[in-house]
Amino acid sequence: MRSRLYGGWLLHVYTAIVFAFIFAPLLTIAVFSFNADRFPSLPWAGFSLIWYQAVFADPTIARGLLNSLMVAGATAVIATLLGFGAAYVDYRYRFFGKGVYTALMTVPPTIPVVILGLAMLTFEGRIGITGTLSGIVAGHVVLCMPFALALIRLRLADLDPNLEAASWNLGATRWTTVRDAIIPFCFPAVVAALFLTAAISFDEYMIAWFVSGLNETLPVRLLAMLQGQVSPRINAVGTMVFAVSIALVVVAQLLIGRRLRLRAAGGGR
Amino acid sequence: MAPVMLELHGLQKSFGNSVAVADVSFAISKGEFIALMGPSGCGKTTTLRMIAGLDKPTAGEIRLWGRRLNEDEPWQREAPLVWQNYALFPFLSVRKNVEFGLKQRSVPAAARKKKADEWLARLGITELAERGVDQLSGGQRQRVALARALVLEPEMLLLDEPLSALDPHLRVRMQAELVRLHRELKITFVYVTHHQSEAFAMADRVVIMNEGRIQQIGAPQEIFRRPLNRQVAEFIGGNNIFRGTIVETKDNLVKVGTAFGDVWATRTLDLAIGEQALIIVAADRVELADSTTGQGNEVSARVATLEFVGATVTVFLETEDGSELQVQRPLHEMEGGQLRVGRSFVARWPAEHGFLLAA
Repeated sequence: MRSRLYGGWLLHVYTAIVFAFIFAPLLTIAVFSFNADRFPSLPWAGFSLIWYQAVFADPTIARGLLNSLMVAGATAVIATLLGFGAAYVDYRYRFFGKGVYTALMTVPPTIPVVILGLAMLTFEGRIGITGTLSGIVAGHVVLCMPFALALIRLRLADLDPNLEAASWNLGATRWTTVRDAIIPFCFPAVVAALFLTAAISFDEYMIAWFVSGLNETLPVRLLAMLQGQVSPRINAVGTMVFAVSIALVVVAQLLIGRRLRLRAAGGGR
Repeated sequence: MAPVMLELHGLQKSFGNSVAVADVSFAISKGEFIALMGPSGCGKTTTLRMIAGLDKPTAGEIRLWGRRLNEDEPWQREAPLVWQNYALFPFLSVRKNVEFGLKQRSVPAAARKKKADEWLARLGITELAERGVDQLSGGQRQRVALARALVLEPEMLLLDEPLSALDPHLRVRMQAELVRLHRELKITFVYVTHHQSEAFAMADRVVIMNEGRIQQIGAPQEIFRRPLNRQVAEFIGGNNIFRGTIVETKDNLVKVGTAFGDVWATRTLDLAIGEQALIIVAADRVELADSTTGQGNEVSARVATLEFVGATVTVFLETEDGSELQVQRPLHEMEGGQLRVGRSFVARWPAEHGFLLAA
């Protein structure tokens, strides 16, 4: 009992250190984004929103943010649709070469993004969509789809095989069964996939850097700013990017967690 | 006799190398309550799934009102199924579950709700309409599953071991409920079960299956009194099965030499002297007496175990040579204290209650 208590105490400290290690730099950025002084040094010169005002006054940043939001939105929808389709095919059918099919579906996140970005640039250059938002979306969909696939496949693994047959038996065709039984069943996972893929796309830098051309997304703009000058505006932009990403991930986690809790409660939902 | 509704002709189904249904043919009349019964893996559920269109027959034909049904997709067949695990939609409320099939038939929302509510009321679960499926007990789920199927007003209802997940006392109540529904709706019930008591209590006719083939089709009493072969006799239980050799034939009777002596039986098979045969004697046809009378078949045996099931008692006896004998008597006959393990009796049955089966 005593040793367990001791172990628990040690574990708490360890966890706290890990969290501090991860979040201290982020916290630094967030804190100095509200600093009135130009230089990120102590003592703090006082609370101010001037860097945020500067950010919103900068048309390149505003455009970067708009681009990022549009890309993230489009990527989330397309990647989740494709991910759902791929997961359903994996659940529903057995066919020759299925192992290869699933392996190919899940491979993109394991490729170094530099390679992926370079490949995207070469390929998109050939078909003439480099430097467009569609080009960035295409690259991001490749990267994000496997995450959507994984989330939805996890959900489908819980689907009672009789449920689909029950739907057919009650008069629903293959398509209406997908609409009225499969998608409602997968709904929490589909929403989680939308948020997660949006988050991944929103702060993806490398692919966007290669293919964006003049249509910079926010992370690309941020890095470009860093190379030019060190401005506290970067802290402000960084804080906002982090806030958006973490919000998307938290929503995704809540949706996944809700499902797990329900399953733990024996609901089998 | 009601007109033939559904016909199965030489139905076969294999999954890869394993044969689930080897050869099944029978006809079902309109409004009949038919039970497919057999041990697990006998092909009864696969047969039901083929009727529903969920499994495609490897060979053979299914006809509904004379029309070939093989190529119809499951959603084109009006044969709702009640599943063993209920297969309710977990993301829908009870009422929406019941409405599901109506929605697929494009029934307007208001009419859908009205019909669903009618059936919820009919099955006594009106108060559950708004609940989620995961908040229901097994018995309640079963009623929802029934309502979901019956709301479509089908001419045929398929049931796949619908009571096997329920508590015994609930099972008996649902059994009565199913019989009542069948009588009121006058539709065809095709009921799959491995419980003899369920099948015999409810069905007009029972189809006994084993290893993908039909062993016997008949009314419950007929099957119980005259099992066609050893497998059926063993499966339905309540029978004594003795092995022996024919030693003498006389008119319609036959004398068979068994391990515990010669017994007379009805000559239901034309076997010659010296051939092997089985004698079947129903356990409730055997009487227990204190002394021999010299009439009929008499075997002395000692009580080995007793089993009390409600108002009947099953007495398992052992003869001197070690053969087993079971006797079923009404409990009131056995009251008075003389029935106890270790006591010896004379087991007696007339020759006409024993009949021959091929060994």
